[in-house]
Amino acid sequence: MIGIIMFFTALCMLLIGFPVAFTFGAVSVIFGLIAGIVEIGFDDGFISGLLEGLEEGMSMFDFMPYRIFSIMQNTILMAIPMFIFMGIVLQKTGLAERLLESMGFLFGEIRGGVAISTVLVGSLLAASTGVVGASVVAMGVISLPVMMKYKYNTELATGTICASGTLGQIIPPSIVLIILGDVFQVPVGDLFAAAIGPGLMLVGLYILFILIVAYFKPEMAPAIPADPSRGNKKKQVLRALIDIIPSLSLILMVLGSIFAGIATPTESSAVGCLGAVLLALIYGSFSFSMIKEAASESVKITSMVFAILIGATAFSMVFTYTGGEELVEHFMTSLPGDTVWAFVIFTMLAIFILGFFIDFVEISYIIIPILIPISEALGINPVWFAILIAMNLQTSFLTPPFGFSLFYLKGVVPSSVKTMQIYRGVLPFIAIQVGVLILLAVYPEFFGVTAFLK
Amino acid sequence: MLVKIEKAFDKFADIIGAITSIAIVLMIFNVTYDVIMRYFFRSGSIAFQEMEWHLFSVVILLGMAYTLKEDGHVRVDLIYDGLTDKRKALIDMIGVITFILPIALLIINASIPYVIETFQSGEISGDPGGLTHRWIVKSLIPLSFILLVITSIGFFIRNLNIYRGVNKRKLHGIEEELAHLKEDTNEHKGDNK
Repeated sequence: MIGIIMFFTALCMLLIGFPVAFTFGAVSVIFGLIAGIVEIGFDDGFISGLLEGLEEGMSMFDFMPYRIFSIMQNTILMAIPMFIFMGIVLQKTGLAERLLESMGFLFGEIRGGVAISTVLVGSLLAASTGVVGASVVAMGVISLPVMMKYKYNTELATGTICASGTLGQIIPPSIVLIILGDVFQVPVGDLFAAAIGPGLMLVGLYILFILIVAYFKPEMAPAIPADPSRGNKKKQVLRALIDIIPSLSLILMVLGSIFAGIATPTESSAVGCLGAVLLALIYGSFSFSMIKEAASESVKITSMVFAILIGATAFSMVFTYTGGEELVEHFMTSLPGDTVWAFVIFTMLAIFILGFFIDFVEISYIIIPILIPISEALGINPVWFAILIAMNLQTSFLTPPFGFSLFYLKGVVPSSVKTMQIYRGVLPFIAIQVGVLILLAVYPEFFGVTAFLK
Repeated sequence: MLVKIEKAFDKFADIIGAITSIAIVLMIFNVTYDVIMRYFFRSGSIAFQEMEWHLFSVVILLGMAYTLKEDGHVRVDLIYDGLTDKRKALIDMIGVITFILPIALLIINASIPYVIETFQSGEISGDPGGLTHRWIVKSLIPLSFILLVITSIGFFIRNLNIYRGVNKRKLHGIEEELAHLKEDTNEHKGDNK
C-alpha cells in the first residue's frame, strides 16, 4: 500500500515545480524512511523503534553507489550526449534555415507547397539534428512568415510546424529511442530500424492531409508565385540538392552503419560528431565558441537526463522495497477482458495522460520499468511495445496546453497568431499520430514488427 | 554582499561546466579513436575503451551541479510557470533544503565508505589491460554530490536575492533556450541568398 501512496505523492509533489530529478530523490528518502519505520515497528518502545526504523530506511541508500556505478558503465547511454552534440553542431551550421529556404521555394508553387516542404524539412531535421525545440523555432521564424504572407490558414500553418518539428522524437536517431532501448534492454539499433516505418508513415500522412486540405479548400493553402530572383527551376533544384546532400549523406552514414550492424549507436554517434564538425568547417560556420556551446548544451541535457535516472533509481528501489511492484502487477493482470489487450490499452492511455504533465524522461524511467515485468510475462515483444510508447510520447509534445512544441512555437509567432489557433491547428496532426499508433498496435506486421515473442 | 557571494558560486559552477565540456569533447575523440583502431587496424586497447565511460562519468555526474546552476533540470511547470518570481524563489529555496540536501547527503554518506573500500582493496579493472586505480572513477560519485551540495547553496542564495528583491530572476532553462534559438535562427536567416 505504501508503494501506491508513494507513487501518487510523487506525482503531486512534481506539481510544485521543483526539478523532477530531486523531487523523486526526496520522495524516495521520505518513503524509504517511512518504510523503514513500518518495517521495524514500535514493539521496543516508540523512540527506539523510531530510531531503528530511520536507520533501517537510511541503510537502503547504501545501495545507491552500486546503482550509480552501474549507470556510469552504461555504454548505450553514451550515445545520448554525442547525438545531441552532433545535432547542435549541425543546427549551428544553419542547416534548418538553408533547407527551409531552398525547399520552400522549390515546392512553393504548388498548392500547400510551403507546408509540404515544411514537413519534408522537418523529417530531414529529425534525422539529422533531432532537436525538437530548434526545429520548431527555425520553422516558426522562416516558414511561418512565408505562409502568413501568402494567406495560408493560420491553424494549418502552425499545426504543420509543430507536428513537423516533433518528428525528431520518432525518426532515428532519437534520444527517446535510446532511452527506451536502455530501459527495455533491447538493442537501440533494433528500435531505430523499427521506428522508421511508423515515422515515414507519419510524414506521408501529414503531406496527404495538407494535399487534401489544399485540394478542397485552396484558400487555406494557396500556391505562392514563383520568385524570379531565385533563378529557374533547374537552378533551384540544384541549390536544394547542394543544401541537402552533405547532411543527408552524413546521417545516412551514421544510421546506415547502425542498421548494417557495422557499428554500435555509440560508435556511430561519435563519428557523426566529427562528421558534423567537418561539415561546419566546409560551411564556414566553424568556431571554437560553437564547439564550446555544443559541448555545454549537451552536458546540460545529458546530466538532466541522468539526474532523473539517479532519482528514478532511488525511487524504484524504495518502490520495490515497499512491494509496490507486485501491487501494480496484480492490478494490471486483473483488468477486465483479454489480459494482453487490456494491459496495452490501459498503459497507452496512462502514458498518454501522464504525457500531458510530465516529460518523456520521467515516464521512461519511472513508469515503464514498472510495466516491463508484466509485458514480459505476457510475452509482448519489447521492440513493438517500445515503439508504441515512443509514438505515444511523441503525441505529448503536441497536446495542448503543455506540449513542448507548442511552447516553442508560441515563443516565436507574431502577436497576430492566437494561442488557441495553434492549439486548434495541432488537433488534426494529433489525430493522425493516434491513428498511426492504433494501426501499429493492431497491424504490427504491416510495419514489419511482431507484437508477441514466440 | 550576498550578490557577490552569488557571483562567486556561479563562477565555481562555471568551472565545473568547463571541465565537463572538455570531458565531452575528449570522449568524442576517445570513442572515435577506438572505432578507427578497431575497424581499420583491428586492434584496440581495453584501457582506452574503459576511458570512454570514465569520461562519460565525469560528464553525467559533475554535470549535475553545473546544470543546477544553469537551471537546466527539467521541471513540471504546470503551476510553477504562473507563479510570481517571489513565489518561484521561495519554492526553489525550500526545494534546496528539503529535496536536494537529504538525498545528496545520504548518497555522500553511503559512497565515501564505498570508495574507501575500493581504495583499500586496490580494485582494478576486471579485464586484462584495463585501467587500474578504480577508486578514482568511483570517487566521482561522492565528489559529484558534494559539488551538487555546494552549487545548491549558490542556487539558494541566488533565489534568496530574488526573494529579497535585490536581483531579478533570470530566464529559466527553457525560456532562455528559446530566446537563444530565436537569435540563432535570425542570424542564419537568408544566409544563402
